[in-house]
Amino acid sequence: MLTNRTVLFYLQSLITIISMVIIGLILVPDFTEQVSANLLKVTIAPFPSISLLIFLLFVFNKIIRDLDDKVYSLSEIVIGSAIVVIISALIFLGTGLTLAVLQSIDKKIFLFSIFLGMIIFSLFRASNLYTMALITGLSEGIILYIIFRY
Amino acid sequence: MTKTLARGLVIILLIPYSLLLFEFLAKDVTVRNIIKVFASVFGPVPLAIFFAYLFVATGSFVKKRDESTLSVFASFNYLLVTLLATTLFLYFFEAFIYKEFSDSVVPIFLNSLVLVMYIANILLTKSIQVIAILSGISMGISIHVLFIT
Repeated sequence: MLTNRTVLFYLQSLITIISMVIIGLILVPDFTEQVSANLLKVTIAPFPSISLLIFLLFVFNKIIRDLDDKVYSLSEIVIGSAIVVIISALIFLGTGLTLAVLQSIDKKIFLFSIFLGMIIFSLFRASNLYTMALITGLSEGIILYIIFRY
Repeated sequence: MTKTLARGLVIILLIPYSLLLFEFLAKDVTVRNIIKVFASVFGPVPLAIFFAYLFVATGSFVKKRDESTLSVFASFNYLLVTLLATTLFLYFFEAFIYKEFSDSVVPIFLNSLVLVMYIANILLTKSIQVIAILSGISMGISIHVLFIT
C-alpha cells in the first residue's frame, strides 16, 4: 500500500517524466524526420544539462531527505499547495509560448533535458515537501495543457 | 460506513463516468481524442498523490468523523441541493461563459476529480456529508451533459 512518502515521491517523479515524454511526442508530430535532419545538434543538445547536473551533484554533497513520517503544520501545507498552483499556472501558460519561440527540435530537447535534470537532482539531493510540490505542479500543468489547449 | 458500501458507491459512480467517455469517443475516434481522454482520466492522479503525501502521516489533523447520528433525510437533502445547484450552475456557465463545455473533455476531467476525492474521503475522513455532496456534483455533471444539452 502507498503509505510511504519515499514511494509516493518516486511515483510522482515517474508520472512527471511520463507526462513530459507524452507532451513532447504529441507536440512534435514529425519527430523522426526532424531528428534525422539535424542529428548532430540533437546528439549535442542534452549535454549542457548533463554536465550541469553532474556539477551540481558534486557541489551539493549534503543530502536533504525529509521524507519521514512527520505531521506537517498548516503553514507548510498552505505553502506547498500555493507552489503547486503557481507552478501549474506557469507551465500551463508557458508551454504554448515556449513552443512558439523554440522552433527547432534541438532547443526543445535541451529544455526537456533541463527539466529532467531538475527532477533527477531533486530525487538524489533535495527531496522534501517543496520539491514534491514543484514536481506535482510540473505534471499537473502539462496535463491541464493537454486537456484545455491541445 | 462499511467498506462494502464505499466500494459500491465508487462502482455506481463509474457508470455515468463510462457513459461520458463513450459519448465523447463516439463522435470521432482519433489519436488526438484518445490522448485527451487519457489525460483527462488520469489528470487528477498527481494531485491525489500530492495530497496523499501531505496527509499520510499518522496523527495528521484530518480525522475520521463520527456521523452515526446523521439522519438519512439530511443526507438526501445535501445530495438534492448539490445536484440542483450543479445543474443550474453548469446551465448558465455553458450558456454565457464556456460554450463548448459539453463537447469538450472537461466533464470527464471533473468526474475523474470527483472520483479521486471520493477515494481520498474514504481513506481519510469517511464523512457521509462529503460523499453526498460529491455524488450530487457527479450526478449533476452527468445529467447536464447527457440530458439537458
